[in-house]
Amino acid sequence: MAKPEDLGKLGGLVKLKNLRHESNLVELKGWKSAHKSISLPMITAMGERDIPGSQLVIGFAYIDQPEEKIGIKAHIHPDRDQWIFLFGARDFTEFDADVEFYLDDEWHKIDYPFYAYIPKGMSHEPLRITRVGKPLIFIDARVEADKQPPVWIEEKPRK
Amino acid sequence: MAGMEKLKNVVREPNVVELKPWKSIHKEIKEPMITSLGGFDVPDNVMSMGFARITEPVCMGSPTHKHPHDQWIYLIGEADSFDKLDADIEMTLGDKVVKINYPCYVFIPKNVMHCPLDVKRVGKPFIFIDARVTEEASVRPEKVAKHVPVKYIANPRKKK
Repeated sequence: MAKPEDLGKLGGLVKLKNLRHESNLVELKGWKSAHKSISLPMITAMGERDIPGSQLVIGFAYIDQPEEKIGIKAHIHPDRDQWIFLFGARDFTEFDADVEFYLDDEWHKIDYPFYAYIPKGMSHEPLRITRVGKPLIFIDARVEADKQPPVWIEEKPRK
Repeated sequence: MAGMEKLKNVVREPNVVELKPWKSIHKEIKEPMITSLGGFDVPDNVMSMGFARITEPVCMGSPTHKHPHDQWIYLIGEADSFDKLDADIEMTLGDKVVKINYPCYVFIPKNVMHCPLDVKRVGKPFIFIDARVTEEASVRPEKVAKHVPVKYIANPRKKK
């Protein structure tokens, strides 16, 4: 499980060496997740760090074992939207896992392939993956970088 | 894939959308796709993203075209090896054709001519992703406007 101090390692994105082949074409290099349960390489498009003007930042991870906390702690982004996807790795629509996701001040149980649209100002995460029957693809996407830092909040208990 | 001609995502909870399978328009794409449909799924959602598993050669996005929104194409290995791509692909981007045989993404700024994306050879199945934001969201930060307009240059690695 990642620790709060690992969050700073997201700054480790600078260690990610995507390779810009052409003005608008970037080779995606593998890198390591901060989560020990994610053992295979992730890839991440780094938006404007890769290509000026390209605002979509998106990371892909392969999930084949439970993860207590993706996202570490509930928070809000005051000024940008985010999207989380989770679906079957081999057959996109096959979902054999149990997931709990904190979204908009509530815990949601999810056992189907999904995405969550998280508009700015909506509380979200952590994401708990309590059982993995078949591997999953996890995607975290955002269109712009934070202009303001995230606001950390306390989760409400499960009902 | 009978019954999969139309996409019927289900909003299961506010802002949480179940991704339902549907059929690609390309006969070479034999497995169901999934697609998030932006504002059609959830109001104000500016991003749409489609996922397909490519198992054999296919030519997509013909003829060469442009549109008033930003788009990104991702070509990545299967889930347990995102960072490996065993395929040969050619894509028209701007005024040239780029050759791709590595996991990558292509940023297609609004109003830039692009496609077709021609998958010439598939050594191992891979994942194709098409992401786009609305025209309204295709507004880049002011600082970016100061950059020199992009030029399509030769692969610097080949200059050695």
